[in-house]
Amino acid sequence: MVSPVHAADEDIKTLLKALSQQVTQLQSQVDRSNSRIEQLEQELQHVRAEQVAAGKASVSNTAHAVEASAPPVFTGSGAASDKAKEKAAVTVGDVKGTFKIPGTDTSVGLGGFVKMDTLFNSVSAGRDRIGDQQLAMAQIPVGAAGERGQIAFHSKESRLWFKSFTPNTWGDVNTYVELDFFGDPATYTYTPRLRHAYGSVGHFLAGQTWTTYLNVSALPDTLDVGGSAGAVSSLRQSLVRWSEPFNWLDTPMEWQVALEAPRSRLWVDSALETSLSKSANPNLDAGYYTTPNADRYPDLMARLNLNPDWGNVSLAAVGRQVRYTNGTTGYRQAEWGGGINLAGRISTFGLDNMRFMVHYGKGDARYVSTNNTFADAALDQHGAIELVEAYGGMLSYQHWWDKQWRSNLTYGFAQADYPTYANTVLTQQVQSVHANLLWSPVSQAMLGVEYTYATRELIDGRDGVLQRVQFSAKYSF
Amino acid sequence: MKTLYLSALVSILSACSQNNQYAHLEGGRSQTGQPALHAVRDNRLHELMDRMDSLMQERFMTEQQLDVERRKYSRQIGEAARDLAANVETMIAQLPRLQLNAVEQTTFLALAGKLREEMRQLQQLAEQNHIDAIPDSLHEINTTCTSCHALFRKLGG
Repeated sequence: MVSPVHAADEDIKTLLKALSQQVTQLQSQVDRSNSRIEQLEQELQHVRAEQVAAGKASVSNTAHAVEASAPPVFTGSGAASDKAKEKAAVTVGDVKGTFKIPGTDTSVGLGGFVKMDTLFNSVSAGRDRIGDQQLAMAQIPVGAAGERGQIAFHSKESRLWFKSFTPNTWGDVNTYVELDFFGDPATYTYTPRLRHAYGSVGHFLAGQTWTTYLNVSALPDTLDVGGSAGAVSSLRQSLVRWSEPFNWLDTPMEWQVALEAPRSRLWVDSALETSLSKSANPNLDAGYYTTPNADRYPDLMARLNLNPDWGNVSLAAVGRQVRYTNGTTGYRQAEWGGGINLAGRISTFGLDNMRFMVHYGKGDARYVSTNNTFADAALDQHGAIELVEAYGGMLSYQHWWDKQWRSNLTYGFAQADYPTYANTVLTQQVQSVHANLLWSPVSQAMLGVEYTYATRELIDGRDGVLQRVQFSAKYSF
Repeated sequence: MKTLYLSALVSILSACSQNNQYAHLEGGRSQTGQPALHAVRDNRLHELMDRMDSLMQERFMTEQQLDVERRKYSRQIGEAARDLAANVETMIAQLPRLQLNAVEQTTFLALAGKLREEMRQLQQLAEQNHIDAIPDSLHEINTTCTSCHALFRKLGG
């Protein structure tokens, strides 16, 4: 009869014996690996020595040739082959996805993606209008207007980009150019459109890119490129910008100041500017707007970015002059306005994150919501200018089901308060909800489906609702 | 008694959370009931790598903004690797308390040294912004973890 204690001892001994054998095997494997590494290192040294010797011989030959004031003589195919080997090879660039231009320090990269969108719209924004291809709040038909149950296919969001990077004593020189095909609103017309074209040296950037007012990392991950109702408009414009990083309380931060291209969009009483005829369809984007070519000052921007490990938060401010000149009478009006935008992206659990934007301003409505939703200011029949107060917000949560599947839920709201004399068919309030499910089986491909519910309310209380289901396929390179 | 020591060793070395960044840290719990420090940091490494990979899905940032984000994550990966390498020293410092025999000590030290060296390499890659090489480096680290688990985790169970 074997006692339990004795049996346990035996088990432990057996276990330790097995462990000892495994350790011995591992030791032997380590020894074999070490001797193999040693052998490979010797071979590597040998190869390097040969390369150095070959290089010296080449330099020596060239020197002799120069001394003799005669071109070097290459004999046979072997010499030609050696010559080919001397040519600089294309090497990996200094940033991801780039290669170096031979003989220079400049790294260049090309990339982009193809994206096809299929949109089932509960109501159409009208023939060849952008509102059928992306969310354009001001184009949501009101009342009974608009074709019901419309479908649109397009690949206009497909993009091409080029970038370069050159280290320099003044700071890195970067350039970036990006195009898509939204140049023409007609659904089946593919005109290239310049999205970004800028360069930067060190902290100084000049060219067309995202407005400083927008924290682009806070934009929700929607299939719809138009964006959420309450987000700051995805506006790209020409600008000059200085960015200065610094650390405060162990937190990486950055301040930015910029001068940006001004452009105002005003509502003008038709009595003041008689050439402005009423839109043929007042339920659609009202034709009461003018974009005066009277800007005197650039839009002034300032922004503070906090970049802690858990995400980023930015506070941006814009100051701008809204100016109007009547082409016929020479009548002029100007008013200074501005706004602030608090935005950020905060990591929550795993890869999940929350994105938000909150903004308020007077005279900055062109930065609010999707493009051309509200006017910056209104002019009454006597020409008195009054800035429009606009405000809104957006909240989006991104959840990763796993590394391949993710979903986003986004809600946005924006409103503009017009003076009482403004036409009652102007858009006063917009809201949108986006919910999607996106699948990326590999990092270069994405398939997704998204549901959008968006409402547009006019000053007179009438409203329009758009429901949309969008399928997208995106392939990057 | 020796089994206890081996269990302690398993607790210290266990769970470099090889499969999933949100890994279950049970296998990596120390005797205090908390996840082993190196398991937590390795988990952080994988999470940062996944964050960097997720940048491929960004459509709105320009490529240069993405490069800035990649550099940020790369810096954080470098810091995590540095901390993990320092943690290996702590593990080695505990070796005398474990009362292992000569062969076991050799194995322990070999694996710890390998892990430390791989962490240093990873830190170097991250600091030099060699982003494309980081996944391979993480894979090597996982192999080291798996080797360790194959030797010791079974006994701890």
